[in-house]
Amino acid sequence: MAEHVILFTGPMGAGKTTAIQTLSEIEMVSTEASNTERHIVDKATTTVALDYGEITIGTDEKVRLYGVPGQKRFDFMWTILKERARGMILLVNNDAPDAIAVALDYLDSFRDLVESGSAVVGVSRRDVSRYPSPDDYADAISAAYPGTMIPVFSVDPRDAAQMTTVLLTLVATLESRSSVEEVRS
Amino acid sequence: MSSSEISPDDVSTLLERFTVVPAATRSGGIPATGWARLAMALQPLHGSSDVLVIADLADGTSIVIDWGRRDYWRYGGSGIFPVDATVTNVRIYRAPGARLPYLVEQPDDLSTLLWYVGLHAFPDATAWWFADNCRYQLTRWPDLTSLVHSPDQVRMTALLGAGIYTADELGRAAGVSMRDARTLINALGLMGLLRETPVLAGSPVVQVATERKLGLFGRLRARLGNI
Repeated sequence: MAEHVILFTGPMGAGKTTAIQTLSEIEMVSTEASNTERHIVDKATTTVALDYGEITIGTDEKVRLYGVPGQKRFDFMWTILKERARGMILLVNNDAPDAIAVALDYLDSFRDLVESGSAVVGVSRRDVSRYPSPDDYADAISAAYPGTMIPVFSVDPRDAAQMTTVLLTLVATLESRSSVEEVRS
Repeated sequence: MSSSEISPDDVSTLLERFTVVPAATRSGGIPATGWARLAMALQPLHGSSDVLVIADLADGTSIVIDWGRRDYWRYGGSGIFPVDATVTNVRIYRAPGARLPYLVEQPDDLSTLLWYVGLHAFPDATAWWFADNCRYQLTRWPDLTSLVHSPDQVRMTALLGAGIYTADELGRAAGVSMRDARTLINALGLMGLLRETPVLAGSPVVQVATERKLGLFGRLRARLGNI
C-alpha cells in the first residue's frame, strides 16, 4: 500500500487536533492528557503523543495525518516522524505573543522539510488577531530561508474547504517541484 | 464609525490634493471602461503607500481602497460585484507621509478585490501591463483560503512557484485551457505576485507534460471533492 505521511505541527492551541479531525475520514485517534502549561494556553488537555487521522484513496493508497505534540518537551517525537514525512503543515495561532517568532522556531525544528519546500503554514485565529498578516509571515520566512517560497494561508481548522486547500497546496507544491526537476534532468 | 456613515465624499475631504486618472488604455490607445480600467489604474500602485483610490461603477457602487493598509470597502450599489462592470471613474488621492484614519471597523482585504478584478478584467487577453511573449514566475503565494478559488488554480499556482511558464505552457502543464491559465496570470499579476521574463528569440521551449497526469494531487482532489 502506498502511504503518504503528512505532519501537522505547531504550538499548543493552534488547532492541529481540530485540523486532523476536519480532514480525517476515520474517527481521529488522539492521545491527550492534562495540560501542564495552562499558564501559556488555557485548555484543559493537550496532545502528549500523537493525533492520527487518515484519508484513503482507492484500494491501496493512504494519506496518513499525524499531529505531533505542541509542547516542546515531546520534541523527540518530531525526530522520529519527520524522517517519514512527505510534507508538513505548520499551524500557528495568530493571537500568540510574537507569533512570527513562534512560527520560525517551529520551522527551524523541521528545517529539512522547509528548505526542500515541503511545508505550508496555516495561520489560525485571524478573526481574533488580524495581524501579523500572512504577508508578514511570508516576509519573515523568506528572510530566514532565502530562495524558499512557503505558502502562508489564513485558516480556520474547522473549515473543511480551507483545510482541503492547505492539503492540496502542499501536495501540488511537492509534485510541481518534482515535475520541474524531472524536466531539468 | 460604521461603513454606512462614510461616503466617498467624506473621504475626499480628508485629502488636500488629488489626481484624476484618465481612462486606462493599452498601448494601441483603446480605452477601457470595464474592470480593465480599474486594473490598469491599480497595477502601477505596487510599491506605493499613503494612497486612496475611489472607483465609481455605473450601478452606483463606489469602491474605496486604502492602498497603504491593503483594505477596501464598498459604498452604495447592490452589494455584489458584477462580472462585467462599467467603471465610470477612477480617482487616485495621494497624501505623502500621511496615513488615512481607520474609516470602517471591518474593511475587506484588498487582495480579495485584486483577485476578483484580475480574474475578470481581461477575459480574452493577457493583462495590458504585461509585455508580449513572456514567461511568468510566482514570487509569493496569495492567501488562497481567503479567495474564491478552484483546485486548478491551486495546481497552476504551485507550478508557477516551481518553474517559469508562458500562459500556453502553464495551461498545458496543468491540463487546463490557455484562457484559464491566462486569467490566473492576470489575477496574480494584479496582486503583484509575479515576475515576468521575456522569451528571447531562440531560447529553449520549456518542456511540459502535454497530458494531465493524475498524480496524488489529482487523486486527492477526486477523493476530497472540489474546494
